[in-house]
Formats: sequence, structure tokens, C-alpha cells
Amino acid sequence: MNQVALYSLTLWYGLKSKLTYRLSSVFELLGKFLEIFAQILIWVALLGSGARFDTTLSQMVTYLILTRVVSTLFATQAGNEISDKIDDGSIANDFVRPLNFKLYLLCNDLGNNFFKVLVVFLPIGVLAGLRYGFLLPQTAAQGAAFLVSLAFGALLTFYYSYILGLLSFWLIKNPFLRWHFRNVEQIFSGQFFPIWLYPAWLSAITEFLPFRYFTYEPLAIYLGKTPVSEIPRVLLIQAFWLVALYAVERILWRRACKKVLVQGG
Amino acid sequence: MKKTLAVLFLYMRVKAKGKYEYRAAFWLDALSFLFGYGAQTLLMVLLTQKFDTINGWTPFEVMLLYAYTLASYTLANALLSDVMWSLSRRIRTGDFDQTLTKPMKPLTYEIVTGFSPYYFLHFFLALGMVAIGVTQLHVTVTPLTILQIACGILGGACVQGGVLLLFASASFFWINNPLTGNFYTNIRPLIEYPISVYPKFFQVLLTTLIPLAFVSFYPVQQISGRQDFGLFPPVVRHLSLPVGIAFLLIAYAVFAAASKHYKSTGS
Amino acid sequence: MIEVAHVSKSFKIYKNTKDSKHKLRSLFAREYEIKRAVDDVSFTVGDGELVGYVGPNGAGKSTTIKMLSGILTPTAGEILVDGRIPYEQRQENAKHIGVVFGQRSQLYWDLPMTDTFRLHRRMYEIPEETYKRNVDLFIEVLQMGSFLNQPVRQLSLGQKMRANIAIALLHDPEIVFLDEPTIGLDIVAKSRIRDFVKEINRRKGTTFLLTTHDMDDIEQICGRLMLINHGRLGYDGSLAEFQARYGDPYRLYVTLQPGERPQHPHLQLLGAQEGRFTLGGSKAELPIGEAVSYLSTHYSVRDLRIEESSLESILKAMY
Repeated sequence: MNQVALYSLTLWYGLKSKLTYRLSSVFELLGKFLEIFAQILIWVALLGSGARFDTTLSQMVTYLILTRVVSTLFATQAGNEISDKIDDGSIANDFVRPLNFKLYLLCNDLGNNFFKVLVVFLPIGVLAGLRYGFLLPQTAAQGAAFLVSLAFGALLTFYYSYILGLLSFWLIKNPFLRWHFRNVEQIFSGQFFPIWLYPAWLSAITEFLPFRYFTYEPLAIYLGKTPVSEIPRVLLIQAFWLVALYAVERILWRRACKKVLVQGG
Repeated sequence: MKKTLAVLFLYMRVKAKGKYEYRAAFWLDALSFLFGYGAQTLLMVLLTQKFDTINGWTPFEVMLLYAYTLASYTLANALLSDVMWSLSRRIRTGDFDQTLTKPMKPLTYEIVTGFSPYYFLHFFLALGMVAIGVTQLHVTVTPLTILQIACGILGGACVQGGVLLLFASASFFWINNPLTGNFYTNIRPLIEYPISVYPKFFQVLLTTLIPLAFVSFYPVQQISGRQDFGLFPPVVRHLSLPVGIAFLLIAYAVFAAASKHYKSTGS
Repeated sequence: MIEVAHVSKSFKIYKNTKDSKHKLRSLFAREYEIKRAVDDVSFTVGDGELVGYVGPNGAGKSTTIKMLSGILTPTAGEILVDGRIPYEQRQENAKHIGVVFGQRSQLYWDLPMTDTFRLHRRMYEIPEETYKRNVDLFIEVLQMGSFLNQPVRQLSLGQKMRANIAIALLHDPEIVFLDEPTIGLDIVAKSRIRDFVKEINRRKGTTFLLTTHDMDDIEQICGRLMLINHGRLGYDGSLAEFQARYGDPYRLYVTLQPGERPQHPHLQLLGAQEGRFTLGGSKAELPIGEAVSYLSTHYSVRDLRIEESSLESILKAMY
């Protein structure tokens, strides 16, 4: 079977598998829906009827929805799956198959994620957009820069979630760890509270960490919060982090392969 | 009852003994705890520094909402988190059958062997936040205030516990119960903010069907003196404990009925 | 004493509709079929008996055990365990029975055995004297001393199994149900478990009901055998009688001088391959000894192997 067809089929099955879980999907989606619904309403209350601190309601609505869309669309469970398979040894089977296992998992995830975005964020995006206004990039240049930054951001989101998943293999499986770490991620990635509103000292700290470059930076460009002169610098740093994460992934992957070989698969 | 408590305390003692086999695990835990709550607090500070009020609620009132939610959540979780997270798996793998061979009510057994005293750490942190909030709001603290706070948090714990129990009950009917995953984790933050920002029907939902409004929104107003009850009479701010207990009893009845259903069909 | 009278247990098995037309309908009402896991089963087990309960996978063994221990309620029929109805008086019944599920452990993951013992003492409210006596006995007979203080997750399968059985017997139950207790264990471990069961039965008169796929378990422990297939009880009687009744056929694998061909009116030629012959006989018609002596006097026997009906082969034929 031709490669493209194979991976497209995987994507489609990823989408379809979500449909077959019926009620399970409903609750997962309902949870996400309520989460962003609340976030939007909280910001409506915060910003009142007008704008404050150079932030308008439609900006925030656009920001919240697009942040979610990007991080949902490009996050992957592949790392976790591979980590589990290494644990129980079944990964040996996957090495023998005639496809790139990682690519397969990615396509499967994309299918899943696309479904979530379609069912949750599209409707709420339309509703919120109609009610509070959804923004588009103001200039074509902004739009183009946004797309480049988005591509980087998407890859970064993917690699990050992938690496975390792989690491679950090495880390002691402590549920609290994940919970606490998620809070740290939230603060440094500007998921709920956009970084352009942060005090200078905090904003400075976030620049040393990769998180703000996942979804915040692309969206800041989109909404015109980043001056044009700054855009090349942002893109450069994104590229840097991408290279860094890629390197980390390579190292982890090699370690994982070694482990599988030692175990005798 | 005496037996249950005896088993529970013994279990806590022996579990505490073996908790940290590796030093590294302990420090990792402690650090993540600090950073995690540090980040949460930082977020609250950011919000409140930039914005004076949210729907009229001042920063420390919002902090109290968060603190009440957390305090009651950790209390409920100490008992029920394991039930919530592992019941579905235990039923699926057949481990739950073992529970049914023990001379204890199945829920009691699951609670006792799943008890997570670790949550008490979080609980004391939350209590600290309550203390901070109360002092910053310049509330005169009387024995009555203490009683009100205690009842509010206990009532909140009952409500959240009831929700956890209800969600867990579905495991007897649903092989891959989606309610016991991240669903509640996604919903809970909703009550960390004043629910008056949400549409009226949602406020009604949170007061009647799933009384999460009694966890933080209403009881905090006992202390802060705010009058923000939407469609409901002011008396709701005093009703956390009775509502909580009633809800918990209903949830327990549902759980008991569900587990009976399991017995006769063996899933 | 266990009394089972005309017990049946049916389950609803939900069907997964592949047809997308029916998928929408299946959102509201799923199609199902009824499966009879246990079908009109009756038996009585007296005090102190060692009973083997065998059958192929899906025959209804585990379902029966679950009904006897109060986990499941029968769809029809009655069960009395020492005068109690297990599924109605579950907690009371639990105090007098012990259950071991071979493929699942009921130990607490990160606790050492000593703590698990203490926990169970509290849970079953075992008197101090009984507790001490049993703990010492188990440690000795099961040779648990070496791993008593290690957390359960560090134990081998054999050690875990021994621990599981010890726990199940700690409160001196009158009746113990063992569901595949020796599965996955090596020969030494299996033998330890079997000896332990026999020892406890001898000392305390505990009744054991054992389900297993391992025929050696049955042959070494049980005096009585019950066979269940497709939910129905096929055989219920002593093991010896079962073997005598059904263990009649035997086979002889004999190698003769080239050119020779064995023949006997009571021996059936089942196979021949380059001088090696497979002969089938029946003990009732021609005892093995006579068959062997006949062959050795009439032919030049180069090699002879006797294969009697094992419990395994009998059951295989019956399944």
C-alpha cells in the first residue's frame, strides 16, 4: 500500500475510533467544553464592557479559543503509548511492522484531535465569535508570520507532549507530579492569562523556558501584540527550542531502543 | 464501625511506613508540591493585581473561593480518590470480586484500602489560604466564624465526595467509565470563581442538580458578607452542611444500588 | 457443608453492531443475547471434602465459585453454604470462607506480609491465640520465613501464591475456594501448595473446592471430581471411580523386528510407521500385563512403551 494512503487511512481511523466510543467521547468533550466556556465567561466578567490594559474582549475570546485549538490539535499520546509498550515489551511487535511506528501514532492522534476540535472548539468558537467577536490577523504580513510561527508552535507542542509521554517510562509514576507540573506549565505558557499582561519580571522568566513558544507566541503575533520588529527574534527562538526538543527526543529514543534490546523484546 | 476505624488506622500506619522507599521520590514530591501550588498562587496574584474585581468579587474573596474548594476537595479525596480512579479498573480486571469476598461493605473496604492521607498536606495548605483570606478581609473572627468555616468546608467535602461517589457508581454499568477520568478535574475549576459570571440556568444547575455552589460560592459569603445569590434566597449561604450531607446520602444510595446490580449480573 | 440445588446463572452479552445502519439505533437500545453460564447444576459437598471442579474455559467454573462466595446471585436455584445463603448474607458468609483467585492477588502492593497479616487479623476480628497459632503454622509449612518482611511487589509468583493462600486461611474458614491456585507456578512451588492444602485439610478438616486446569492438582489433592461443561454438570463422583470407568483405554507403542506385524483380537492397530506400531487396547478386554506378555512371547520386541489414560486425555476426549 502506498505510504500516503496508509497514513491517511490511519488518520481516518483515528477520527472514526472517537465516534465509536459514543458516551465516553461525550463526557470528555463536555468537560473540555465546560472548561473553555467558563474561561470565556470569566474574562467577560473581568473585562467588563470595554477593554482594559490594552486587551479587548474579542482579543481574549480569540486567544482562549485558538490556544486550546492548537494545544489540543497537536498534543499527542504517542509518548505515553510507546512508554507503556516498552514497559510490557509489546513494542517489539511494532518494530517488526512495515511502517514508521511514530508516524502511525501521530496520524492516529491527529485524527482523534481533529475530532475533538471539530466537536468542541468549532461550535464554541462560532458561538463565542458571534457573541463577543472573533478576530482575524490585521495584515497579510501578520497572517503569514503567524502561520510560520504556528508551524513551529505546533511542532513544539507535539514534541513536548511526546517527550513527556516517553518520560513517564522513567519517572516514578506519581499522579501528583503530573498535576503539579501542569500548573507550572499553565503559568509559563500563558494558557489562561496571556503573557502580555504579566509583570516584567515574570515575563522575563518565561523567556528562558520553552512554554511560551508553544501557543502564546504564535497567537501574540496573530493578535498584533508582538511588534513586527520582534517577530524574527521570536521565530528564531522557536526554531532553537525545536532543535533542542528534537535533540532530547533523539536521545530518549535511543535510550528506549537500547532498553528494548536489552530486555530481549 | 469500631472495626472499620481500627482497620483504617492500622492501614494508615503501615502505609505511612513504606511510603517513601527512595529519598529521591520524596524530594521530587516535595518540590513539585511547592512549585505546583506556587504556580497556582502566582496565577491568582496576577489576576487580582491586574483586575480589582470579578463580578464585584474582590481578590481575597476569590482566594477564599479557591481555598474552600481546595480544602473540601482534599478532604473528600483522602477518602474517595482511589475509589474514583481505580474502581473502574478494578471492576474490569476482576479485582473488585476480591472486595466482595471480604467481611466488610464493599465501599468501606475500597475506602479503607485506598485511603490517601497524603491529601492532608494539601488540606493544611488550603486551610492556610482560608486563614489568609479571612484576615485580609478584616473579618472579626469569633467562635461562630470558626464554626461557619468548618461547616462550610465539611459541607463542601460532602458535596464533592458525593459527586466523586456518583461518578464512580457509573463504573458498575460502564466498562470504560469516562466520568472517572479527567472529567471532574475539568469541572472543578468552575467553582473556583464566582458562579454569578455564568448564565442563570447554569447557576441553578450548580445549586440544585449538582450542588457544587455549596462548596465555595455560598459558604464564602457567610464570611465575606457579600450578597450575591442570584435566584436564590440568602439563607443558602448557611446550608452547605445539610445540603452536603443530604447529597452525600443520595450518592451513597446510588452507589449501593449500583453495586447490587453488579452482583447480580457479574458484568 | 455446601448445598447447591438446581442453580442456573445467565448473563446478557451485548452485541457490537458493525452495521452502521444499526449503529444509530444501538445508541439507544443495544442488542444482546442471553448466555447460560451455569445450567441447572446441583451438588452437595460435605465437611472436610477435597473436591476438584474441572472443565474447559468458559464452562462455568469461575461463575459457580463466584456464586458460592456470594459475589454473584444465581438466576435460578438455591445455594446454602453451612446454612447461609452466600449472596444474601455476604458479609457473614465472608467470615467463614476463604477465597483464592489464582490469577489475581489480594495482597496489598507495597506492604510486607507481616503488615498484611495484621490488617487481616483486624478485618476478620481473629482472636489473638488463633492468629498466632495460624501465623506460626503457615510460616512453617509454607516456608515463608525468608520473605516475610519484603514488600509484596518484590515477591516471586510462587511466593505471592503462598502468601495468598496463607491470607485466605488466616481466619480459620471452614470452607475454602481455590480458583486456579497453581497456575503459572513451577513444579516445586506447585508441590508446596498442594502439600499445604492437604496438611490443612488433615489438621483442621477444612473443606476445599478447587478449580483447576492442572490435572496433577486433582490427582494429588482431590478425592472427588466434578466435571462441568457448557454450564452443565457432567460427572460427579470419586476420582478413582472416574479413572476406572473412563481410564480404561490404553496404548502400546511397540517396535518390532523388520517384517513383523503385531496382531491380537483385542488389540486395535492405530498406526504404523517403519516398524513402530501403535496399538490400542481396553483394560476390561485385555489387561495391560497380558498384552505385554503376549507381544513379547509372539514377537521380537525391540522397544515397548505403555501409555495409560491420563486424567488429561480422558477429559480431552470428553470435552
